[in-house]
Order: sequence, then structure tokens, then C-alpha cells
Amino acid sequence: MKKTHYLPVVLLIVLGLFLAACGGGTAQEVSEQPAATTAPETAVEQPADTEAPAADSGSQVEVFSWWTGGGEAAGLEAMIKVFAEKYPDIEFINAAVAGGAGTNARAVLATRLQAGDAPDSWQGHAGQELIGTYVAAGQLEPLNFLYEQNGWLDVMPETLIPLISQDGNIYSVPVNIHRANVLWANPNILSENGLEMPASLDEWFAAMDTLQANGMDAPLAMGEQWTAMHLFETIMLASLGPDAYNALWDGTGDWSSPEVAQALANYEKALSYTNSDASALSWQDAGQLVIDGDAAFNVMGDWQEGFYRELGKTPNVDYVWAPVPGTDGNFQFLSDSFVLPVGAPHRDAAIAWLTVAGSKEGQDAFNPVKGSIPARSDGDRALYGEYLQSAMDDWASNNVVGSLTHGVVANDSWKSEIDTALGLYLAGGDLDSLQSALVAAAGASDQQALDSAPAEETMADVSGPVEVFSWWTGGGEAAGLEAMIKVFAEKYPNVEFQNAAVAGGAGTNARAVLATRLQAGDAPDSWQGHAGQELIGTYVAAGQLEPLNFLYEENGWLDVMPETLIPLISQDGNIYSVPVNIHRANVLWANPTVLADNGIEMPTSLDEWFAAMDTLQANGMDAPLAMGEQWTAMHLFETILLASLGPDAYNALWDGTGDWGSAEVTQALDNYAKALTYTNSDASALSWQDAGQIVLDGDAAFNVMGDWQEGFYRELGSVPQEGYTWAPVPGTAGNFQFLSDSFVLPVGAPHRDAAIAWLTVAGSKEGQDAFNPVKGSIPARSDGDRALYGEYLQSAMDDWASNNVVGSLTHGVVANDSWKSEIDTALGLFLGTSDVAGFQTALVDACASSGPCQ
Amino acid sequence: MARKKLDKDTILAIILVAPSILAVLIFVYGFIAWSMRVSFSNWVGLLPNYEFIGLRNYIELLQDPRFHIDIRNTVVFTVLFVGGCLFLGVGLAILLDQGLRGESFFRSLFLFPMAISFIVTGVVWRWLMNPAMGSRMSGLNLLFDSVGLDFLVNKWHTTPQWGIAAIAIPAIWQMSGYTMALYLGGLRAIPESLREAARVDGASEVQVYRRIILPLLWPVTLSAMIILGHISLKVFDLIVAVAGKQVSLDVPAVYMWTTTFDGQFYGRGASIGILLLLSVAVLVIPYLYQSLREESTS
Repeated sequence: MKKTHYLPVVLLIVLGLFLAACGGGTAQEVSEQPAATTAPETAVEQPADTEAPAADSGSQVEVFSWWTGGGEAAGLEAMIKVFAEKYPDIEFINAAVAGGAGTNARAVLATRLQAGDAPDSWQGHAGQELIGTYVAAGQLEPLNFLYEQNGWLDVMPETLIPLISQDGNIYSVPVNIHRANVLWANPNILSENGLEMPASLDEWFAAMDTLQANGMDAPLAMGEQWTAMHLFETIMLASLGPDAYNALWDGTGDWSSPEVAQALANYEKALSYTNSDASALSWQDAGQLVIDGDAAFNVMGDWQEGFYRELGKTPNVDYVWAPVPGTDGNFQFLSDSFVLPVGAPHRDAAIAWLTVAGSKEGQDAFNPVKGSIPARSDGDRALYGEYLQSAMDDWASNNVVGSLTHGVVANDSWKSEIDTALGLYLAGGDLDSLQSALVAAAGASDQQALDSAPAEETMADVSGPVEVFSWWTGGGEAAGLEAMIKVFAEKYPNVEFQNAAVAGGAGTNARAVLATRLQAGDAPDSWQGHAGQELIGTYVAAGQLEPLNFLYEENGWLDVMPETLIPLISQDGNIYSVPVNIHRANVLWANPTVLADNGIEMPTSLDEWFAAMDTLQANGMDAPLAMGEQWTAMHLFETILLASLGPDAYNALWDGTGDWGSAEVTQALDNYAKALTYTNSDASALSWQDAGQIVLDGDAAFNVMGDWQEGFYRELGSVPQEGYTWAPVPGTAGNFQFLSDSFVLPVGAPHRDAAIAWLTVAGSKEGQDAFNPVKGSIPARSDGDRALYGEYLQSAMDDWASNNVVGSLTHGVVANDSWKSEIDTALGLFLGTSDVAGFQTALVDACASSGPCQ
Repeated sequence: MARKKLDKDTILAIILVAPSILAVLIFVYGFIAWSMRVSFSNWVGLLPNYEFIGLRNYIELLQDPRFHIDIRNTVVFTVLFVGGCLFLGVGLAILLDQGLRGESFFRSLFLFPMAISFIVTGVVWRWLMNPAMGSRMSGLNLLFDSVGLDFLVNKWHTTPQWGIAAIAIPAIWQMSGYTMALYLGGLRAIPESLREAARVDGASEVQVYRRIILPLLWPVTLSAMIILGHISLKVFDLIVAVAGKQVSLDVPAVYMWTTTFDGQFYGRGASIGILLLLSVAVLVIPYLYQSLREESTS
């Protein structure tokens, strides 16, 4: 009894130990990943050193595909052999995933990409299947440089390039080419019935009528639904011709036109010749019907040839082929190709792999084995069989159009909608509803089609998506962002703006999400951050940001932004962000009625201020200075520090040249302690709005808060100078203690050009004048249009242009996150203990442990 | 006799539970191991740094005045919260056990708060426990003031030193119904004959409860303490909802979050996480040990 009871327990413990070991293993893997995420650093220097993807010794390349069996796997092996000869130092890791004709592999790939664990290169169907999925997700690097270096543009058909490009960027290297529009026929049946291979749809239909009259019920063999789509695309091409066919896919054609209706009628007629058990057959089964003489024709891609050979059949004896009637002179192609992901773990090795995949040797090694033709037109004909040679001739001379079923012309979602429409039609629908479903499917994909259509003319123009990350999700901030996005959309109509804003916690949530994404190697194209040390200490220290000096120079921003601002947003002479707006932290808000009632003027020094508050307390106002939760206490702290020390000594504290233990700092802390004695006892339970409200209500006279308070007061319907008044915090006149939201350019931005376009708008006069009046802040540029701003903001603009600029602590300008959080802890403890000496010691320690004081 | 062979059922059972065991092992124990590793590292900043620094994070934490506040707050909160829930829970259960009419209505009524998340509870109680005085008084304070219970007006969670006690109030409000349900189940399991026998022997009603019922409810009390105790040690959402992030009401979970994501002290954050885990383990493991032993001896 007891024994059986313990058995599972023992088993569990053993399993547990075993897996705990595994757990350790996982940890190892996780820890290695960041190495991969830092790889994009090299991407920056990319264009320079790609000429010779000279093998770094000991490198490796992981290539992902679904070639796990038959001629495909053998072809891959042959190409790997060529690669190993050319790059003996690079270890090839074959990450092939079997099953589902690539479906499994693509699911695995998607998971890996989401986890930020991209392989160095992967296989995909050239065209919209790749573009719609991976390019749209910003996962692929354009490969134009490879095409130029290797002269591939000269050896690949001219009409192929637009089909594998988006907005002028080529995103894949096609390795092999298959032809979709091939009509296979049984020559014996044809001759028995006195028929020739048909050259037009009408001839074809007439031939099949004859066959039916002669007792063959279903002269056209067809298989399951995807083969019906395959037939569909070839008949569309035959009916419409190549130009109108292409127009349907690039968005310039009209799916509701009578020509399309005629094409669909042809398709309907073709289907009337097919076998009734089609949906139960695979493509091989359907091909077999032709060989067996049970059907005369079959439309299938040229992989059918390999299948027939495998069956031991002889070309021109057991089977013949021709382009699908009406498509002669057109090569409806599909292609397996390889790509270069953004942030490939071993980019140089991946480029080496792509170079081999696009080379004559590589393609001539792969294709004869796989039974396809090379994408290059200069393949060695002697290596290929009779059918393939004819295909190579056509490939070099024909007009190239893309296949729908095999992912060239439509992205996955569009294709799946067409598939649904076809499936409904095959299940007994009528032609009209098929056509309207096709129109609807095209409409749903219109946006993308329109995006890609004008692209060819504007090769140089910036396009593609740009993902910008911020915490502007509500109120004036979101409205301001929208206004700036509008300016951006006007200037860069081809760039799709993806607003990746994360709500909550005044940016805390957003920053946590951003940190996670960066650790996973999934950087957005640009993100919002407080200008200064918060950005520098966090992202520059981690090597995540590109310097932006070139943008400042190109756009002349150095002339329109205050001179004293630049050092605060720079590190070692490099400017790392584009400030969009400016807020002032050192503003004292006051209730003019309360002041007048007590005969008090706005104070201009700390002593005057304290005296005024003494008067107010004597007159019965317990807490003349309103304060809120802990961060507002830090906000008060930084302004009093500035007031007590003056700008130079204040700055010195943050750049490491000042002494936190000095008597002056002690004096400043005493001032701060004194100021706190005037504050309300429930401060920690109040938000900054609550504290501001107290002043407006006349329950307190003063409040120190940034100038976003003005927007809040306006929202409440209060009038400047009547409901509230303001001045610099006493003792800080002539100083502008600023904070700023700014945008950055990450190293290895998925869409660097689009990101730069965004930054250019963010730093422009138009962009800043669109954003700031709505958000209630002033532009970082000193040339903003004054007429757009209200009374307070105009005074702030004057001060910004003329004052001495110093940075805010609470809002991330002067101290990095770690230092700031240490100060926050010290301040929180001080609020409980009121121990000035202990506070100062903690500040000294904080500077030593996380600041520049060593 | 030879050892019993694994029969089909056992094998099937093992196969069926294997996936979830595997998932738990990876996603719970695997990540505990990873956190442990981070906690021994010098990781400060965005990118991982696994330089081994031994127990330095832990030693620094034990010397950290903020962490001292965390420990004190956790102890105060746990004692009040667990004690309050047990006291109210057993009281409500005994009242409901008297067979009064509308029992199921009251049972649901007391249980409902448990269906609310701590965040919602926190926001509501933040309004109720508004500490403002004078003309800005509101919430419970205003109620007390207007009915003449001035002495009850207080500063709630802004009370120096003991603010954390105010946080326990909403927590007790939320979880005492659940404790009641546990006790009610326990009470229903006690055979009526035991009470009858005690009464026949001349025990008063109070004595019946003190000497018979409550000792028999001890296993329920233990379970409730474990469940409430680990909730209490991990409390985070309630405090953030009521009080935001202020050092005087800090608890380890809040400190872990702020230091990791605001301060980027990943190593220190992981150390706090591991200490939290250990403190929960101290509660749970003896309990598991005992219940396993009871099972095997029964």
C-alpha cells in the first residue's frame, strides 16, 4: 500500500530534478539571446563593408526551410555543398521543419520571430506572401545592395523584379523557378480523338466538347480546392492577358469589370469539364488520371513533370505539355526564395548564404536535383532535362507574371479571402456572387495594393511602415500626437504610421513594455523618452541609440534650439534625441485672491516666500503650500535645490563635479525641510491635479508644479491672472528648468529611413507647431509661431529663448533611472523621518553608487 | 511477492498529467531558477549582465532602510489582515450556522466582495478613505464627521508609521467572506451528535464552541491562514491602487517592481522576488509536509 503511494512522489522528484536541470538550460539560452540583439549594431555600418562578405572564421549561419524530403532536400544538400566550398569557415545549420507543405515551418518561424529569435535566413515564396507577411512586419532587410554587387539584375528577367519588390526594395533572393501555367495532356487520347494541343481557350473547350461527345465524361482532371485555384489563376491570365491580369493584383485593375466577368464565365465552363470527385483527389491523383487515360488534360505546375518521371513515364510519349491555352508567351511563375531578416544573428554569414543562393553555381547545384529551373537566365542548360530546358527558354524570353495560389501576387489574407470565395462557388454558388466576393476581397486589400502601386515611380522616396512607441494615449497628448501624425502623413504619404502607444502609469507601463521588447530584440522604429539622462543612462548606455548629429546638421536645428539645451541631451558630443516639446518644471502657481486678501505679493526669493507662508499660517491657513504624492515632493525638491544653489552649482551636482556633502547642499536641504512644513498633511493621498485644485479652490495659496498645470486649470475653466497666477519658483528667475519629450533612432531600426522621416517631422517647425498648441507645451525650437499659443505659453516661449536652461530631476533630464530611483527612495524615507543629515548621506551615497561621483 | 507492474491505468495517468507537469516545471521552476541566477548577478540597466556577485544583492537589501520598511509593513499587514479575516470569518460563519432565515442570501452577500479584483477594491476604498481634513473632507471621514463621530475621523493610510494598517481594512473587507465560506464548510462537517453530547454533559453554548467546535475547526483555520498568508505576502495591486508608490507604504512586491522597471536594478529586483518566494515557502512547506504526512498515515 505504502509503496504504491510513494512511487508517484519519487517519480515526481526525479522528474523535477531532471527538469530543473533543463530549466537551467533554458536560462542559458535566454541569456545568450541578448548577444543576438546587439547584433544590429553591426547593421549600421552595413552598406560599407558588405562588398566582400568575407567569411569571419568560426561563424555560423542558420537557414530555415521546409525542404525536408525528396528532391527538395537533396537539392538543398547540393547547394549547401557549394556553400561549404566557398565559405569553409561558416558552419551551416539546416533548420528545416517538416510537414504540411510548409505550413508547419511557417508557424514555427512565426513563433521564433515573435520571440525575437530569428534565424539568419529563411525560405519563403517570392512575392506578396513574403512581402505581406514579413516585410509588412518590418522583419526583412532590402537586398538591393546584393543585387547590385552581384549583377543579378542583368541575369534575372526584368519583369520578375517588380513582383518580388515592395516600394522599389527587393526583399528576397529567388533560388528556383516553377511555372504554374502548364497544360498537361495524354498524347494517345488526343491522337485517338483526332485532336491537337489547343492554343486558345476556345480551341481547348471545343476539344473537350469533342471528348465528351466521344464518351469521356470529365476530360479535364482536377484535384482538391487549391488545384481549383490553380486552374482559376491560369484561366484568369488566359482570358485577361498579362497586363489586365497584373492590374488586378496591383490595385489598378477593376475586379467588377465585364472582362473579369467573362474570365469567370470561362472558368465556369472549364469547371464543367472536370471530374466530380475532384475535391477528394490530390494533385498527384489528378495527374495520374491523365497518365492513365481517364482524362485528357490537367492544369498543374511543372513539378508535375518530376512526378511523371518518378512514375517512369516518358516525355512526349506518355505525356505532353504546353502553356495553358491562351497564355503562350507568358510565364506564370512561383519561386522559393531566401531572405535577410532585420537583425540577423549572423548577418555576414547570412549574406554569404544569400550570395551563394543567388549564384550560378548555387542555383545549378540545387535545381537539377529539385526539378526546377534557376531564377537566373544563365544556368547551364546541359544539366537540365528536356522539359526544364524548354522552361528555361521561356523564362528567359517570356513575359513573367505571378501565381496567386503560390503566393506571388497576393498576400496571405487576400489569398485566403479569394480561397473562401472560390470554395463557396465550388460548393454551389453562382458566378455573380463569386465576382462580388472577389471585388470585396480586392477592396479589403486595396490599401496595401495602393501602397505598392505608385512605389515603382518613387524608388527613392521613403515608404513602408514606421512604428513609433509612446505613452501618449489620452487627452492633449494623444490629440497633439494625432496632429503631428497628420503633418507626417502629408509629407510622407507612403509611410504607414503605426502608433504603438501604451497607456498607463505616466509612462511607467510603456517603458516596461519597451524594455521587454528591446530585450527580445524587437525594437520599434522610434520611441518617446524624456530627453536627457533618462534616455542616455538607459538606452545609450545599453548601445541602443544612434547619434543624431547628422539630422541636426542637415536640418539646421542647432541654430533654432537653445545653446544650453544641447549639452543636456548629448553624451560625449553626440546628440541622441529630437525634443518635440518643452515643459517648464520650476513654476510657482498661486491663487491671486488669497494673495490679495492677505496682502501678499508674488515672492521672488525663498525667504520672501517662506515669510509669506508664515503670514498665511498666522492668518489661519494651515497648509499654504499644496503638494501631492511622492513624485510631486521630488518635483518640489529639485526646484528648491535650484533656488538654493543657483544654476551652476545645481548643474555641478549632476555632472559629478559638485559635492553632495557640501554645506550649501545642507542649506538647500534645510530649505526643503522648511518648505515641507508648509504642506498639507494628506499630500501622499493626492495626485498633482488634486494639489493644483487646492490652490484653485483657495484652500492653499501656492503650489509648485510643471506648466502642464496650466492646461489643467484651463480645462477646469479657470482664467489666467484671475483664477490663478504664476511666476518662476522663488529664487529661480532667469532659469528655465526644463523637461522634454523626445524621439530617438534605435540602432537597427526596422525601418530606418521611415524612422528618420518621422524624426525630421518631429523636429520641424510644422510638426512642433502642430503638436504643442494641442498638448499645451512650447516647441523646442525657438522659432515657433507665437500666434498659435496662449498667454502662459507665450511667456514660456520668451523665457525658453532667453533664459539659462537647466534640467529637471523628476522628469529624467539630469539623472539616469537608477540614480533617480535611489534619490526617490532617500526622499521617501526623508518624508517619513525628516532627518536632514540622513537624507544628505543617502544623497551622497546615491551619487556614488549610481551617479557620476566615484 | 514481486513488485507490482505498472498497469495501463497508471501509465495513462502519467501520460495525461505529463504535459501540465512539464509546463509547470518550465514556466514555474525554470523561471525560478532564472530569477535566482539574476538575483546573484550585477544586472543594472537595460541589457542583461550576468556577472556573478554572490549574495551581494541580498546583503545590500538587508541593510537597505527601504527594505526594513517593507518587512515591517508586510508583518503589520499580514498580522492584521490574516487575524481580521479569521476573526470575522469565523464569526460570520457561526452566525450563519444558526439556521436563520435567508442564510443563502447573506452567504452570497458576504462572498461577493471576493469576486472583485483588488484594483477595484483599492480604487473604491481610496475614495472612502480620503484623508483630507477641514473643508475638503470627504468619504468615510465626512460620514463620521456629519453623524458626530468626530473621534473616528483619521488620516487613514497617511497616518505616520501605521498607515499600512488602513490598507488592511479593504483587504479584510474583501477576503473575510471567503474565510467565512471555508469555516462554514468546516462547521457543516461537524456532526450534530457531538454538540448534543456536549450539551447533555452540561456544557454551555459558549463552552460548546470553545471546547468542541473551534478545536475541530483547527485544520480549516490552518488552511485559511496559508491561503490568506500568501496573499498577504504577495500584496501589490491593492497598495498601488490605494496609495500609489510611496515609500512609507512600501511592501516587497512594490519595491521589486519599482526597482526593476523604474530603476533598472534587475539583480536587486530578482533578489526581492526570491526573498518573497522563500517567505511564502516558509508558510507553505510545513503545511504541505503535515498534510502529506496525515494522508500517508490515514
